[in-house]
Amino acid sequence: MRIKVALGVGLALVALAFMVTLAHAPLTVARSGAATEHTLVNTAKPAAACQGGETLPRGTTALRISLTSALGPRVAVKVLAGSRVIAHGTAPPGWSDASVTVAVQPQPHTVAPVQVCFAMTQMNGKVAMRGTPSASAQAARSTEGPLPGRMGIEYLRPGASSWWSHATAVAHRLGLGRAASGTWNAFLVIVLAASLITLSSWLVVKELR
Amino acid sequence: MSRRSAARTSAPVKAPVPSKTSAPVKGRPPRTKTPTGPAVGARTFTRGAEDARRRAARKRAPGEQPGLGQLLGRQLRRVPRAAWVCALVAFLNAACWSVISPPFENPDEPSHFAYVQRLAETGKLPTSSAEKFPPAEYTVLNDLHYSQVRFHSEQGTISTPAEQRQLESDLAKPLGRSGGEGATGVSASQPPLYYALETVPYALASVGNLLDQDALMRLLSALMGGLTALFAYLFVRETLPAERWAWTVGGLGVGLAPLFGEMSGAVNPDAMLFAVSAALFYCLARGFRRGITPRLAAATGAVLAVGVSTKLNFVGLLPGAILGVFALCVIEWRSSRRNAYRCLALALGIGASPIVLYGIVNLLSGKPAGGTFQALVTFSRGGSLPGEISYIWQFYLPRLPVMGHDFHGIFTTRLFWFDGLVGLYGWLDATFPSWVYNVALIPAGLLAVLFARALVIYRGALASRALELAVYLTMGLGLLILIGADDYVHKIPGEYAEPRYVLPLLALWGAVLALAARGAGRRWGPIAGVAIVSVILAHDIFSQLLVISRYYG
Repeated sequence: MRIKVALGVGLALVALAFMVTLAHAPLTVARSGAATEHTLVNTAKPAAACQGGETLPRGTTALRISLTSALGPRVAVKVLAGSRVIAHGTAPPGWSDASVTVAVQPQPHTVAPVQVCFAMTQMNGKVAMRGTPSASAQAARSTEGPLPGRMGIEYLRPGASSWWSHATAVAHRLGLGRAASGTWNAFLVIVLAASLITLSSWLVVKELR
Repeated sequence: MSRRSAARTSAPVKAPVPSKTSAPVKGRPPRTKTPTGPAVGARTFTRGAEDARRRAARKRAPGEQPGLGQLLGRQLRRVPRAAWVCALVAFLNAACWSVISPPFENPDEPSHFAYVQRLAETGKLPTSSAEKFPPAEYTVLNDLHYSQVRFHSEQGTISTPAEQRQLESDLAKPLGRSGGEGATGVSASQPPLYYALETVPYALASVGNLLDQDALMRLLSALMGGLTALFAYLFVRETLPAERWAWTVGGLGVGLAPLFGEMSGAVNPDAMLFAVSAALFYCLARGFRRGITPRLAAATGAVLAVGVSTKLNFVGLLPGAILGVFALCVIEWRSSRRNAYRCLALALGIGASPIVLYGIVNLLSGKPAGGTFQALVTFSRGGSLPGEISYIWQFYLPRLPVMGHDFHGIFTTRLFWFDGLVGLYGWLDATFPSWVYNVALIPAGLLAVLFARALVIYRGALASRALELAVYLTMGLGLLILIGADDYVHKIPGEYAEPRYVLPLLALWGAVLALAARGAGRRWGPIAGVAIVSVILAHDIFSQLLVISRYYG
C-alpha cells in the first residue's frame, strides 16, 4: 500500500508539473534584426561591440544575439538609451549554439532608439559574429572601428497564449517531415509515453512491495 | 546486514521465490528475497559465490553439455520477468524518442545513415571522413531544412503543407543512393558491425522511401536500447543480489534515462555500444559472483569482439575489461589451473579476433596494421604529457592550483557533465531554462547522500570486493581518459564534451541507483526506490516536452 501511495503521489506531482508547464506561454520574437547569413567577424580574443538604431520592444525578457561558438565566452549585454543603461544581462561561458540568449529586465514601454552593446570575456575558442553587411554608418562598431555590417539581434518576450493553445499546431507540425506524415504521429507519441508510464508503474508496484 | 538473513544463502540461484522465513515487518507483506541472501555483505556474497561455483562445476561435468540452442533457451528462461519488462520500457522509451526527434536531427545521424546506405547499396565501406552524401539523402536533408535547423535552437522543423509536398515529391523521385564516393563524414572511421546490422531494416524498408528506412533503422537502435536495460538489470542483480526490488530500480533507472532514450531512438552506433558495454559489465559481474567458466569466458570474449567491432569508444573499456578477465582467471587458477588458462585463452582469443583480423587485412592491403585504431591511440597532439594530463583532469574536474587554465570561466564538472546529463538534446542545441539545472541539484544531492550512506553501511562488503570494484573503476576511467584525450587531440575545447559518451557506463549507473535506494534503509528503501524512478520518469517526460517545444513549438 505504501508503494502505491508513494507512486501515486509521484505521478500526481509529475502530472501537476506537466499542467503548470503547459500553462506557460512560450517565448516569441517581438522584433527581429538583421539577417544572419554572413559572418562579419571571427575572433578568439576578448572583444566588445555596440550597435545603434535598435528598438527595445515592451516586455522584452531576453536578447538573442547572433554569436556562434562551439564553447562560447561570457557575454555581457547592455541596452542604452542615450547614455543611460535601461536593461542589462549576462550569459555565462559555456554556451554552444548559433546564437546566445541573454536575459534582461523587461521594460514597461517600447524604447527607441537604443544602442545594444555586448562584451565577450573568458574566451574558450573562436566566436563568429553573424549578420548582414551594411554601410559603415549603420554598421555595428567595435573598439577598433566599424564592423563590416549589422549583427543579428532578436528581442524575445513571452507570447500571449499558453502552450495548451498551441497544442494542435504542435501536433500538426510534429507530423510533418516524416516517413508517414500526419497528426497521428503525435498520438503515437502519447500512446508510447502512456505505455511506458503504465508499464513502469505496474512493475514498480509489483516488484517494490 | 543481518546474520539471520545471510543464513538464507543456500537457496538455488535460479529460483528467486519469496522467502517463507522472512517475517512480515509491521503488517507489510513479506518482501521477495533473492536466493543468495538479503545482504550485500562479504560473507553473503562469498557464500553465494561459492554456491554458484559449485553449481557451475557440476554443470561442467563431461557428457552433460547441452546444445547451443538449448543452452540459450535455458538462459533466457532464467532471466526474471522484471528484467524483460525493464527492457520493454527502455524499448518503448527509445521508440517514443525516435518519433519525437526529427529525422537526422540527432548527433551525426546523417553521417551514420550515409554509412549504412553505402554499405547496403554498394557493399563497400566508407573511404573518407569528408561529407559528401548521395543525392537522395542530400535532397531530403535540404527539404527538411537540416542545416538551418541544426545548431539553431530558434529554428524549428518544416511547418507548412508546401514544404511537406516538396519533401514528398523529392522522396518519390528515383534519386541516386550510392553516390558520394564513400565520403560519409565522421562515421567513416567507425567499425562496421552496427552499420552492417542496420542494413537489414534499411533493406526491409526499401519498398518505401528514405524516411521509412530511417524510421525502421531507428527502431533497431531502440531494440538495442531494450537490451541495454536488460543487461543493466542483470548487472545490478549480480552485483547487488540481496534485495530483489532494488534490481528493478536500477533497470528502470537506466531504461527511462532520457539521453539514453534519445540516443537509442536514433541511427547511431552508440545505441549498440551501450548494449554491448552493459553486456560486458554483466559478464564480468557474473564471473566475480559465480566464478568464471569456459562458457562465460567465451561469452565475455564474444562481447569484447562485438564491442570493438561496434564503436571505437569501446576501446576505453578494454583496459578494465582485460584486468577483469585476468582477475577472474587468477581466482579460478586457485582451484583449477587448466581451467584458468583455458578461460583466459578463450576470453582474450575471441575478444582479440576482430582486431587481429583487421590488422591482417590492413597489412595485406598495404596499410598500417593499426588502421583507425592507430589514430585512436595517438593520444598526443605534440604538447607535454603533464599538459595533457592537466587538460584531461580539467575536462572533468575543477582545476588544481598547479594547473594552467584550459577552460576559462567554466566549471566543467557542472557544465559539461551534470548540466549535459540533465538536459542537452538534439544537436546539443535543445536546453532547459537555466533554473532547471539549478533545481536538478536537489534530487541529485539527495541521491548522492543516499548513495554515500549506502557506501558507509556496506563499507565492509565493498572492501571485500575491492578487486571487482577496481575493475569497474578502471573501465570507467579508461573511457573517461579516452574521451578527454580525444578532446585534447582535436584542439577544440569541449568538442567531445558530450554526455552521451559516458553512457557506456549505464550499467554502473543502474547499480548506483539501486544502492542509493538501499541507502535509505530496509524500511524506507523501496519508497526511496519509487521516488528515484518517479524523478527519472519525470525527467524523461519533461525532456521529451523540451525537444517537442524545440523543434515543433
